[in-house]
Amino acid sequence: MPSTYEPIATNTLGSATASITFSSIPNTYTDLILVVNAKAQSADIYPQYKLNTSSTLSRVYFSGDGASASSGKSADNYIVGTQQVYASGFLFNAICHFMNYSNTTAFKAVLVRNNNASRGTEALVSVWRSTAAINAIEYYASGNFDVGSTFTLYGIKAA
Amino acid sequence: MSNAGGMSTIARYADMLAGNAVFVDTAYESIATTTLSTATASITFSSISATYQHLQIRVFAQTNRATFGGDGVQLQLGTTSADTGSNYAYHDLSGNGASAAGQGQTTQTKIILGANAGVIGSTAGGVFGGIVIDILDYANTNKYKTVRSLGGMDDNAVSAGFGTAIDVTSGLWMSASATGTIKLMPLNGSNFNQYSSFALYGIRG
Repeated sequence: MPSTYEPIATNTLGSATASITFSSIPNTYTDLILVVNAKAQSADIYPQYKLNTSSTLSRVYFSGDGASASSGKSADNYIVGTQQVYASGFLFNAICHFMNYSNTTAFKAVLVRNNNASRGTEALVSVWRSTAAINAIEYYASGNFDVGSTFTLYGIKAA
Repeated sequence: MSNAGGMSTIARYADMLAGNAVFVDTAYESIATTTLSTATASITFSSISATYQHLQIRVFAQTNRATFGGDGVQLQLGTTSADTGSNYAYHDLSGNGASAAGQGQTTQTKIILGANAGVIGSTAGGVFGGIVIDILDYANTNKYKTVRSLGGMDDNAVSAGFGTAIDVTSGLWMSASATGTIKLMPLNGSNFNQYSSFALYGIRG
């Protein structure tokens, strides 16, 4: 059987930055997985992403904060979720599944699990209403991700 | 990386892997994939080798349901064929954009992924949805089998009612037999639509 869970690129921040871009993503995989462990440099921030420079994604989520559960949705929204990246420590992690990212017959679905260890957890799906193959992912925020934050993109290839 | 200190030629790499052989995780292997060229009522993976520790199924699919934007998926496990007895239980937590809800069922003839929420798309909504399903310790003959999934679809509010949603489900197959067969069926539609994709992976321990 072919082995197929390959790191495409890893970015460990040596300096604080507001944007991480994975570009020229090959279309040789079936799904992509982005794994994030991050801390904000100063103010708390909401992570966002763009696909092929487009931010026109809709989303639906549910979240829990230890006291209650809630759900929300919005159209044409590019914020990944409701969990913030805190400046107080590496409390935020996320796993984003870009399903059939190079399929050119269907809109793209992205499944996301976001966790902030001191705030809450959530699951989210968003759709990018485009049949174009995803060849670039920009993960960014209104403030900086701090030094030491890690962003790793994996590819999974189906037989 | 700085050029300070008189260093005039420095290789700049975009990632930590640059310049090194790519590490390939040999513990995660593709077993089989089905991408539909025509609408199909069910997908079955059979004769699954017991050589892995866990299984993962990655689904990108749409059904022919015409009334609502989303649909669920029925999951059955078995040894040489799918077990159709009342040997399953499942619980889920879902959100539809307005509220979060949970529910559960016992003594069922299948595990339902997305019982209260669409986890894949439908003809009505016009989009595909995704599910990542993990079947843990699937070949262990001393345990009942547990399943977990993360699934969802978002049709950007195109359809009313049972549509845009996100869901996590836990499932149980009350059998100590090794899992050799996995069957997936639409919950409400009669067929998975063309281009739906179902990929089975094995994870070694």
